[in-house]
Amino acid sequence: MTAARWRHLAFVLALGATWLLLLLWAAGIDPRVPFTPAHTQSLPGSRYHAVFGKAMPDGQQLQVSAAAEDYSALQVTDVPELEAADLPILRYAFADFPRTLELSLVFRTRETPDDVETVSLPAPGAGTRTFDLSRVPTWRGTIVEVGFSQFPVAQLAPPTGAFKPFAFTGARLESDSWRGRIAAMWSSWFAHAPWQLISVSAIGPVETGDALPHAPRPPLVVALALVALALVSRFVLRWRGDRLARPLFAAAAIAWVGIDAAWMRELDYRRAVDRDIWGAIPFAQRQDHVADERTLAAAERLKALLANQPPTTRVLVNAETPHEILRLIYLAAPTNASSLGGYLAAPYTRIPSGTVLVNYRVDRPRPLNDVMRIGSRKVRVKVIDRNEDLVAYRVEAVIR
Amino acid sequence: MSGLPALVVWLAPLLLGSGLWAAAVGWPRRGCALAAVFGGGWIIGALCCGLLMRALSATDLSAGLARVGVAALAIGSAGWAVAWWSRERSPLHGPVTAPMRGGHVVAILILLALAWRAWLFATDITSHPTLPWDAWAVWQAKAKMWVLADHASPYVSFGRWLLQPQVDVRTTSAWNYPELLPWTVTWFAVDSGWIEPWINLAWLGLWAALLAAHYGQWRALGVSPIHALAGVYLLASLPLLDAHVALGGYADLWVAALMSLAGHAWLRWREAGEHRQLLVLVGIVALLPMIKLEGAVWSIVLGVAVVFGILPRRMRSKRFLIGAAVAAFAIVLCVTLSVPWVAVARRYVQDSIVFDGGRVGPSLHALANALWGQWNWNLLWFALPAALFWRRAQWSRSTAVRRMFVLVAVPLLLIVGLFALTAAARYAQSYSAVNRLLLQLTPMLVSLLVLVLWLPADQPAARGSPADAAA
Repeated sequence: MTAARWRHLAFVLALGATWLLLLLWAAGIDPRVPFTPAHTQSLPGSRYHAVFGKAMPDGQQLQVSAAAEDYSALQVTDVPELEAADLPILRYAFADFPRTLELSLVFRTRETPDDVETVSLPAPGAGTRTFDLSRVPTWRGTIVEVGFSQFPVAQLAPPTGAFKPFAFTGARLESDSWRGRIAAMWSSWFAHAPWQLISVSAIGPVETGDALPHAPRPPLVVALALVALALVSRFVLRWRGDRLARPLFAAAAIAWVGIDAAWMRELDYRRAVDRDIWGAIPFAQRQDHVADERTLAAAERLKALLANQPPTTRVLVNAETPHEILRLIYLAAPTNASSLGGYLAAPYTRIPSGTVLVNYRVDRPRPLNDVMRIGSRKVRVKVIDRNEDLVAYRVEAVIR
Repeated sequence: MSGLPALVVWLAPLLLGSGLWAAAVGWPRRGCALAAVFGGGWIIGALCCGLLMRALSATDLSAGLARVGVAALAIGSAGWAVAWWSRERSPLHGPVTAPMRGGHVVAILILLALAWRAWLFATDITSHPTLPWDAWAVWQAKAKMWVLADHASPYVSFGRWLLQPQVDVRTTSAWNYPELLPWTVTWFAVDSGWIEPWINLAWLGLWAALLAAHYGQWRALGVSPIHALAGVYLLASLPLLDAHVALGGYADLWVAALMSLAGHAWLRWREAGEHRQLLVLVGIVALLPMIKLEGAVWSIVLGVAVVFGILPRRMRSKRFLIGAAVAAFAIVLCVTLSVPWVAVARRYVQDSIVFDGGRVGPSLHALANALWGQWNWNLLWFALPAALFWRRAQWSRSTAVRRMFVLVAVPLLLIVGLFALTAAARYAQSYSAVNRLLLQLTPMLVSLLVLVLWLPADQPAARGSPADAAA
């Protein structure tokens, strides 16, 4: 064999070895573990029972036919005491799982039986998904109960139409293996997720802070693979200048298009989720089909209440969270409303008579003998509307 | 919405903005110039329609379609007339680019990929209401109130709102945020009323205009058609930019578009001596603070860049001193006039007087994760340093690339400083703001990549000697 051929052989071996190391790092594989799992614990769907919602066994599967009143569903099963550290790979499969639901793993340990731990899982889609539980800090100790919960996609899917019947095929816990870790990495890379609140700020994390466990993401891994390609080409094949740059440029272009193709596939999925939610609703009514249906109903009620009032009528809204306050104000447009928190932050401001105060799903501030204390002020109020979510008061007079 | 009014809503920005753009830079004499005029023009025109809504229809928004439509027709036509009247009559001589082998196939594939993406955007945007938090809490909240009330009440501070209960004013926590974007949104609602999926299609228009404008700008700087098209694909394939299109409602993509259009106008003025590009630059410098608070900072950066460019040669040695003085003067002016962004900046600085060394590490780690550890930017943040390193010999001789490099580097350093050294670090660590600020520079970063990779060394854009470089 000529020197050039030896060099090419060395290039292939060096590149293969480097990329293998990269794969081990990205998937979190300890090279000493076996290629396939040494032992597994199968938990077929029929073994579970519904805690929330309705479900019936059907052969090996569990047919989940309805959600609970709060639109969530939960299926659990007791398990023989399992050492979490021995079974870090979770494989799970569902059939006809709606894209409008989120999925979580729920488990309990013998050490802290009163604590229910949850782990957000990638959408199951069709086929089997794999999740690496060794990255989850709470997956420790002895597992005594395992379950799966489903709930409408937060901030996106209106709860009433989010649930559709599906089948839980089953889950399997596996001991550590190359196969399991690679499958978990693959699922982490290519499992779908709908649009989230964070999506406009970061792609990839499903929550602020990027705190959920995950494998290093493809752009970083692909870039490191390209760096490895450059270094091996430079030092083994002794390529330099344009001889090195051209194939690297081509590889980078292919990698860019590949990552974009994966992103396009994801974009298409997110579009499909949105079509599932809003596709059947007339175009002009889609904005009235929102995840916070109760807030919308409260906003409509408030608008009807104030329909004959002057448009300058001031409305102060109080609720449990800033999100609820802002949503109620937005959905009640064009009501002239603002947050009660704004008043509390401006203690020298007076609340004029005629102002409407709205408590949305909170019962404070609450009047005593028609007198309500807000910050340092006292006002005489009259209830002008009330239902289970909303109480509206009109300020009759300012006491002090 | 019905056919003709919808057409007016979408074509008025095109006519108005392209007319203004053509009047500023001259009659477009090449196809690529048309792309810049219509792309950049649509963006400027949409924002100007917002300005016109405020000027002509604040008390009666439903009359805005006719009033602003007619005004846009008149101003746009006048702009095109000025461009025709002032057109250059000398024969056009420009660089002739040899077609790349297989270029047509690549071009068709790229156009198909862009068309597929546009279809995904269109069908997704029209599916859902406004989703992201700040979109409905800040940027569209005012517009929705105004549209549904059919007139625009001013937004005032909370205290003033409550103390004057008979006065037709409103308030919100973001009452003093710039209002040009809400006004622009009222324009896109003027034919239909408040229908969010329809209004949010404006972000699809922004995306298409942004791509067309960049194609035109790169071609004008001497990049070949196929490479300019490849650059358009690079820009279009950035996931976070795509998210801002699909989840329309945020202001950052508008700022990004304006910042990049201004950067290219500045570059063409400095590189090719196209003095009329300064008119575009001045217009954008005026618009940027009207969209978002940080737009004022970018306007100051652009203003300092212009001052660098107009300094006489004998003063070049003092350019950094002069630049700092100009920036300081602009900041003092903003403080004197109580421009809102100053209050926000002051809050961060005051919160950060005690230097917290322990905050720097996690912030820089979060920033690094935002650039290299997530899906946000495809391979951009890997490719750009690699291309700068690989092509260092070429770009260090190209004034165009060096100038673009400095124009991007200064705001980037400001962002890194903001998120590493001030109280804004928490927004870096939560990823809630850092990527959105980076997005505002992303089209310019892609442009830097395109120029580093594909700006021919013998094109006019690279003809300046190193002594001419502004920085």
